[in-house]
Amino acid sequence: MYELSGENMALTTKAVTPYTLSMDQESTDEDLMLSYQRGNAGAFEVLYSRHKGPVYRYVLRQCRVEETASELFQEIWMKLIQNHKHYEVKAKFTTWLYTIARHRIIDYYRQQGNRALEVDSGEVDSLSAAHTDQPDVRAGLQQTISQLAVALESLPALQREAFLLKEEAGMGLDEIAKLTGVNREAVKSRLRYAVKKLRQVMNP
Amino acid sequence: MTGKDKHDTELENYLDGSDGLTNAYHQDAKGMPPVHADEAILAASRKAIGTGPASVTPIFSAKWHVPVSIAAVVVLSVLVVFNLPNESQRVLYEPVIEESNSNSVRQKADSFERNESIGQEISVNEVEMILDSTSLQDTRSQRAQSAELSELMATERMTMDEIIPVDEVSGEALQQFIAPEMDFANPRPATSYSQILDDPVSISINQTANMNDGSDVMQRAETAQRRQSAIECTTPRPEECAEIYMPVCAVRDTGIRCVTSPCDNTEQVDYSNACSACRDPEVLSYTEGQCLVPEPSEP
Repeated sequence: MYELSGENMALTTKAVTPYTLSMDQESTDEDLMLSYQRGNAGAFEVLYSRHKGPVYRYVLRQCRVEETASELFQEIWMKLIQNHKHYEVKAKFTTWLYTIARHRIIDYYRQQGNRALEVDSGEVDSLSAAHTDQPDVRAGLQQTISQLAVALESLPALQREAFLLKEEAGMGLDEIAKLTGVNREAVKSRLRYAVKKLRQVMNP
Repeated sequence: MTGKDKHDTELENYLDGSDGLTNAYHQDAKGMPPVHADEAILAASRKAIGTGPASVTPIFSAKWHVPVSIAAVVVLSVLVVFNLPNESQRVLYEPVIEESNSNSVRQKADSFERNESIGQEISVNEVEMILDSTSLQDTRSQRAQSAELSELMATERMTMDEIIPVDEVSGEALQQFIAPEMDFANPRPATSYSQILDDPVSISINQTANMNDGSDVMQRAETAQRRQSAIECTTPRPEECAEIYMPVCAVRDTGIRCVTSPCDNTEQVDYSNACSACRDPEVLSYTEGQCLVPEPSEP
């Protein structure tokens, strides 16, 4: 499904050597994942330490409740661990990881009766606003005392998702487009609206 | 600049990081997963590849068990190899021990017979019990036993043939004479006689034999021998006898009859010849030669 660019392929074809801690820190995500497939638990620890913060924030910014975010976060990584033997270097590790995360968040939204990530952006605004009005959501927002964070929470889900994939996962437009299953222009449009609203918060 | 162009410019500035939005976001984005989530995930990751907890991994994944296992196998192999000769010697030696035991049984029977002939209060059953209660442990006790019995026989200046003239009696008669309940054809198991010398009852047998005078034993043996060759007096008894000196030892009824307990009611009396012996109506039988007179025992 996911094809690597020439640059990424060069990273993943690097010779795999026995891992020491220093080498692990320098290894690519793909090498670490392959090493974990061969039974190197230390490789996974490095991989996890790299991505646990961004993935957690990606989940937290979308479900907005720390307790729920913690549960979803664990389920995402457990899913990855369960499927580690099926991992193939056909795409960047982050693409695989955030695909798992996104699917889990979609499932969470479905359980909540909210299809925010599956509907058009025109419907998202009202759904997101209604979700923000919930008491638990407000409690979660109080923990992130920041105008920018509040503004981010107020974004439509698809715009917020695109922004988070850009900021937390470090993805480019093409990667976000592949991950979300839309074209590049749609991603640009979502990001454009997200940035505009966030800038209004920063510079009223 | 149109509105669309303005938005594109803002997006481009955002994408290249020049608008400060990315920095502002990351300054505020401090959220991290809770510690328990970290521990659960890392534990699951180790379990998935079968390495267990990280704190335990260095212990169980250590390589020490391989050389230890090899060393254990080598040590056990060496021990087994060095113990094999002992096992084979024991197997090969057992028939010898059994054969030696047959001799030992015979010697013990000799000792028993001597004590029985001397009149000690040791029954065949007691000897059997002694033999049954003993067991063979090693050949050293057998050799010591044989040596002691040989010394005993030398001290008494007699051999087994002197005590029991085997060539004059059949095997069955010998067995019945010595110990009717003993089975020489099928001696006791080889392991049942080894500690005879250690058995206090067994030692008492030897001590009893040593305490008695040798000539007394010889006399009793001679008596036993003559008992086999005794000639009974026939009737009618002779009334006149020639004065020929061919001494015989006659068994004469003393006329004593014990009522409460059994006792010897015969005695041995020398006569100048057989006719003179049988002329005595109290004489039951006789044997050729003079009766053995017990020598005074040494203090």
